[in-house]
Amino acid sequence: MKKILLLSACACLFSLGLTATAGAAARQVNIYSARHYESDKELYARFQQETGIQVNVVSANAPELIERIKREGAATEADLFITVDGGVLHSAKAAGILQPISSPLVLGNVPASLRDKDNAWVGLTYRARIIVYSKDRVSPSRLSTYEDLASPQWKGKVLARPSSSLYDQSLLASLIALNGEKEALAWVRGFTANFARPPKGNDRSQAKDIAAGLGDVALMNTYYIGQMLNSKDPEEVKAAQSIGLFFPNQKGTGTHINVSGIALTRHAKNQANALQLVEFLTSVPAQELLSTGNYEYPVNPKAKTAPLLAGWGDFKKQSVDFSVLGIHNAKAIQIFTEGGWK
Amino acid sequence: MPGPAGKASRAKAGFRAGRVWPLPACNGWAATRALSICCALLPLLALTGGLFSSPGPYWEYVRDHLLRAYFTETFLVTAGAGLGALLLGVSLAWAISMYDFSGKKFFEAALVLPLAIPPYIAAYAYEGLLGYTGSLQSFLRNSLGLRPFALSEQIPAQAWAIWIFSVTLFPYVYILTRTFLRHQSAALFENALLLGGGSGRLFLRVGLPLLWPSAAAGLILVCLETLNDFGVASYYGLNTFTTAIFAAWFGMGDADTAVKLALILLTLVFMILLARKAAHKSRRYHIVSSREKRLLPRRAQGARRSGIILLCSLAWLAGFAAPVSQLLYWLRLSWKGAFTVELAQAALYTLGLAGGAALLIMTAATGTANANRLFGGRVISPLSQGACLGYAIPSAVLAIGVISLFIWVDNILASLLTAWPARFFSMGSGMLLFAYSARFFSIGYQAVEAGFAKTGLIYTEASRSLGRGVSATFFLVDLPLLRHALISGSALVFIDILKELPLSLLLRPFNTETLSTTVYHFVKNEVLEETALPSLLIISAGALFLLFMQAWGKEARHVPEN
Repeated sequence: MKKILLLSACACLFSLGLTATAGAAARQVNIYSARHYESDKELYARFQQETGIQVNVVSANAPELIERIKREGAATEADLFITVDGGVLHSAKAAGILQPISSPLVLGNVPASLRDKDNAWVGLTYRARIIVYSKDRVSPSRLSTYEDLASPQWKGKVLARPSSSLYDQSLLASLIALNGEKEALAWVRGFTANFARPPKGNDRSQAKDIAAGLGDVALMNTYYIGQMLNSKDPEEVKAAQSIGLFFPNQKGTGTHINVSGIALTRHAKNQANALQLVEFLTSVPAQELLSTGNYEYPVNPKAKTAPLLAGWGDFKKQSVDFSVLGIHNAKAIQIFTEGGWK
Repeated sequence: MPGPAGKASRAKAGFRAGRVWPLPACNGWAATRALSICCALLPLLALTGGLFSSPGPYWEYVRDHLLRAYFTETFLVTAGAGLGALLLGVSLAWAISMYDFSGKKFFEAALVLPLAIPPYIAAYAYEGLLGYTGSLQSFLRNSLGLRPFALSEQIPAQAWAIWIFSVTLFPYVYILTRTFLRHQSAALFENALLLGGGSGRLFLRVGLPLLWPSAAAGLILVCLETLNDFGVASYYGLNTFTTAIFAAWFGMGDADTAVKLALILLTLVFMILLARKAAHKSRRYHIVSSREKRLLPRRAQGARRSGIILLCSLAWLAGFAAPVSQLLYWLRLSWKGAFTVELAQAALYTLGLAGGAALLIMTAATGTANANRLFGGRVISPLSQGACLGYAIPSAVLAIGVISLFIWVDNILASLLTAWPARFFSMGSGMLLFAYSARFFSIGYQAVEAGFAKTGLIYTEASRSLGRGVSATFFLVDLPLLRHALISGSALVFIDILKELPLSLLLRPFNTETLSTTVYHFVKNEVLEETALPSLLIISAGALFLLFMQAWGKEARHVPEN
């Protein structure tokens, strides 16, 4: 019995480590990514083909990946960290797991407004969080700002997803920065008082519920509208066609945008390969593929925006520094709770 | 291992001391138990580092403003789901065990199938079915010209969550109760009927007390899975402890507050597990006789028959057919290009992981449960309940504990051995296997423990008196008796790993996907129709495994018959 136990213990130990040592390629770059898009996979495959550098990816939720890199410390395998929120990128920087990107090519590709002030991360794409409304029941002339959605004229008309959504947390963080905490709380209270139903579902659910007549207005990220219009589900296409798009705050602070960014980890083992990949991803062809593939706005000003997005026209963007989204995130969660937005 | 003379004397001592046999100096069973418990507890301990540190920056805020809401909502959803699953599971198991009716064979097998559906997929599928663009409303609108309505919006989120958990998790109660009743002696029931009790009294006075331990074991699994859930709770925007832990740790970046919340949750779970243990400690629920007569079902008539068929149909429809039909509808929209090499790889990887982990867990659970029943131990027996806690804490939190543990081991080995490859353990599939084992040990352990409780010690004691060693007795006597429990335990573990998401997401090696992470990527991108194929693969693999295990399990006999 003892021998059997000893043998099985040894076998377990080795099987535990088995896959770890397999496939340690000489030229490789390792990514921890919180983006899950097909266009990303396609770009990694192209990069691998062009350079011969193998791209290894683990994709999961950003905050957990940050925690993982923190716990791994100097032993981390991650060379690059990719995520979809300026606030999260700021948290990664604050956690001390990143190092500045110094490639002149990258800094030339990405404007200063779409990267960290110390270049701890650079943008890959950006998206706007806009107001969508029922084409049948709402005249766009009634729409103006995010702040106005808290006014009594929208009583029982506002649809929203649960406040655990990072998109709304970051929007509120930007409103805290622009208007102050007191105003932000008043806004959440007013907005919540206008709910047509308790918060539920994802971004697409809000558009569908507008189509269903449950409410008239909602907040939505731009790329979801692009994806719905091109969905395989004909009912989703119909729902997306029934909603109008409105870029709010054009006469004031601008429409809230959020960035999708890439960062070099502090203990990256394959730095040169990693930087080469960042240069590739911010180059014009890759940026155009990201835009057409996923309906996001490219960060490289030389890259063409996808025709659908270009058709929606240019708009004034919120000029809040992205680090603010991270700095005010915890406050935003508190204000959501206090204001009753579940 | 003790010598033959020692064995006999210890066996005698064992009889005198009831169930507690003295612990031999060096014993493979005790060692397996110690190792299993250590492995299950270490990732939890790795998390408690920050426990005694000063409170996190948001602790006071959470304590003053949110804690009460977390308690209320967590209690409401868990109690609701537990009650729903208990009522469904017990009534279905009772109806199927006690009565014959048309379609019984189908329902007997089909009612385990909801377990193959991950609750988060069921939640999306229900929304897809009843939501505006869902198949039901599209049909009403496009074919019948009815105006859109908002059926799913009229029901509060908590009720939806309770519904989803009840209809997808009731088979935990159903399977364990049905297994128990199938092997139950007819004697008690016949005597009760002879003494003039009606069916209702038979159930309440005889059936319920007898089947309660099995039903309670199932109920505990339902409650733990509900407490641990993140997918359904976050979809419906519920403030449960799990979503709160995520918000504190991953949202506010306050790990200390998250650990404190996780510890409150763990204390609750530990109390539930101990309470169950204490409640059943002094009772014996097994009937052992060499003249065993099986319980023979009676033919159901009239209203009772209709009621039973209606109940079975509704449970099967709600827990399985409805979500699956929605997934099939989505598959019709997305099947082109859906079957890729990556998906096939993900499927194979998932099956390998689930099979490997099920084997590991059942071995560890059997070793631990056998050591517990033979050698007892005032400290170590409660610790085995502690080892079950992995099932109750949010998986993402457990994942961080596992990473910390593996990095620590790798670092120690690297400092001792210069040739040790960096990240040997902490980047491989082994880490994921280990995490699954820590997480699902409870499922295997509960099944084995229930199996041992049913067979009792009498055969073991007989074999030991006749001079067989502990291990020989186990392989020759206990294992055949335990076969059924092992089958249902490994089926449950296997299915749970197929469905598992947070651990797989965070701990899998580079460039690998499981079926559930594939589903997750599509859900994250909100392309629900694309989730159809990987979801259906999870469900079919789970369903096939459940049906196979059930068919095989029927052949198994707990108690030898003359």
